[in-house]
Amino acid sequence: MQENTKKIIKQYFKEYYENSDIQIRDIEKREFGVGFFRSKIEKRHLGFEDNEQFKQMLIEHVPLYVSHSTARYEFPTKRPMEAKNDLCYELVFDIDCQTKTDIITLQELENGKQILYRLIEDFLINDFGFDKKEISINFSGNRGFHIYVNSERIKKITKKARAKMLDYIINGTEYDLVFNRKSKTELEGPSEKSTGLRYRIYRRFMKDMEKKEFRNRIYRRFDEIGLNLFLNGIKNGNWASKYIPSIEKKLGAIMREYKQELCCDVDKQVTIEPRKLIRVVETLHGSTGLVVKKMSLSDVEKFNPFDSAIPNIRSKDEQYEIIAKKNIEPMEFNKKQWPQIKKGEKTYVDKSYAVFLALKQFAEIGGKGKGL
Amino acid sequence: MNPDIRTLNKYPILNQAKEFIKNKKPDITKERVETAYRRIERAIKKIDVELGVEPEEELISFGLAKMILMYFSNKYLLKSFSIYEAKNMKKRLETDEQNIKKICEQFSINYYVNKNYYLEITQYCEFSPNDKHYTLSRRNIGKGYVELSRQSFLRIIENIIQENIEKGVSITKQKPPQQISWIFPRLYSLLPKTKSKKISTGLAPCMKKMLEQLEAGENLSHTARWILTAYLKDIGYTEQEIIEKFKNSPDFNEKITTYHVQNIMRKYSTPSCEKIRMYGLCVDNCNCKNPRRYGMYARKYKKNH
Repeated sequence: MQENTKKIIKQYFKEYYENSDIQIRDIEKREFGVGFFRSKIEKRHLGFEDNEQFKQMLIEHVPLYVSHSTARYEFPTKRPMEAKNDLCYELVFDIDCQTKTDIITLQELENGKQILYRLIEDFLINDFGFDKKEISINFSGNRGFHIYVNSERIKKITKKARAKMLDYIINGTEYDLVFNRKSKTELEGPSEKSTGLRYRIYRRFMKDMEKKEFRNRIYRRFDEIGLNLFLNGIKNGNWASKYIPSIEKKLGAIMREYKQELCCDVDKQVTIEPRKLIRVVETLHGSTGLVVKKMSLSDVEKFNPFDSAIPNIRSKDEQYEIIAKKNIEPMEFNKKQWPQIKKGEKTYVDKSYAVFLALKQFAEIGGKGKGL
Repeated sequence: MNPDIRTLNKYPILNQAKEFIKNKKPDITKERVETAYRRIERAIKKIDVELGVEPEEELISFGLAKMILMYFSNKYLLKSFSIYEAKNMKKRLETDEQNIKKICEQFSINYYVNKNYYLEITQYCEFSPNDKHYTLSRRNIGKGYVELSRQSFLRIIENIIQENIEKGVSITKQKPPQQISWIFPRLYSLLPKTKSKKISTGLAPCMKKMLEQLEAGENLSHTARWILTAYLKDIGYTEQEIIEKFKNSPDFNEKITTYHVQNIMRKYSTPSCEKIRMYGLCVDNCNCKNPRRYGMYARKYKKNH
């Protein structure tokens, strides 16, 4: 990245931080880390007494990445980690949308939203019993969401317990975890009376059994009596009341498919390791220039990061010249439709879009211009 | 109402039992040290004893045994003692609903009973055994509670008690008082004599860790034991050699171990790394698909790097 581009990006970040009012709960008990153009965390073990001091740092040093610990410490700046003395934790989930290209598409974001709904409604509220008020959601600033659970129940929770909860969320439908072979004629599994994920597996399976194609996958030669015997057995929690060849293998494959739809693919490390640093809410993300935006569950549906997460600063609509380093596909950004830009082409775009493209390594920023 | 001395003797983990000993300030006599030693010995040899002959002395022996273990600082003895005591208390709780309540209250266990037992989910995850039968996917879960049979609930209480006994004994390197130090040579005689051979370096890291844990006298979960047995069988260990490995285990029972080892040797082979990872027993990123083939992968990796 050229020096001029870096300078313009820094100006853009500085302007945002000068006008921001970032409020971090328990700021004095958290460890902070900052990163610049070289890496996402170049310095850590930093601490701030209050939000004002934090703002001063942002304006003075203008970091591209600002992260803090989800754990609260007695001495957040001490080293090594053991000397910090853990006080309490939050439970955090990081949903990273699977993307094919460097820039996330709205369809890819939609898949992430589906995982988010499932995680919050099915697992956190329905199964784990957390209150809606205890859950908060952020756009991560790049290509996913962060979900925070701040509840008295998980303040002292150990890594071991976190790992168990996470395993349920990520791998909960694995055949080995769900089923228990007791004898040749007894394969214990989800039933009509099950609750939680077990009931969701049961419901889904019974629904699929209504389709002939799916039934054939289980057993081609089902007659009416055999089918009823099999389904009634399942209702009562026995999946082997009727003999079906290789039932374990077949169910194993089906459970792997259900994993995509019933479980949630979240980052393991972020949830299990409370000492990991996570992007600070309402700061800018150094890979996009977008705001790490806090939102409510009802806002998620309509959320479009290329509109709602653009920092609201005066210079965001100013026109800047860019030189494309790669072919840039047409996209909507800052409420405008931008055309395709070919490699090597020079054009004028909004400052917010220019910063976004530069941080994504798609373009270099030239100078300020009058506009298209 | 304060529980009577017989109840305290049954559940020496109760706060009132600790207070009782504290107020009593018993002298550390030779006889009492001997009784405490016998209590530890019973834990190692897994001998069941009827309670209640001399409840007060028995209660004192529990506290004194903990004190002896604190100064003796041996993890194997401590683990064996805590498992033994916790199992005994669990047995007594099986017919004693009133004291389940008391113990749960003391350890702030959030649960309710509605035909079955319902335990708060974070506490369940914290205290349930590391065994696939206790994974959340095998349980009915709703509104933050996990449904459990009475037996499974008591198994979790057993874990809580065991953990609490261990926490209560903070191993110290300080010189022991003379009144108890004379018993130490006899405690050494309780330690397992069969030191197994040095753990080979060619073993997969997860298996090596499990073996190291066994050597250190730590308890492995049922799943870990099963995987380790299948692995040792696959790399050529005999039945007797495998049983020998488990002898250091604090809850070792030759009859049960032999039965399980024979069963596993007959039916199973080492599960894939993916499954081991799923059970939370993977400790390294050794880039192989099955621990059985670790040696091969390790050689390949060494060659390429």
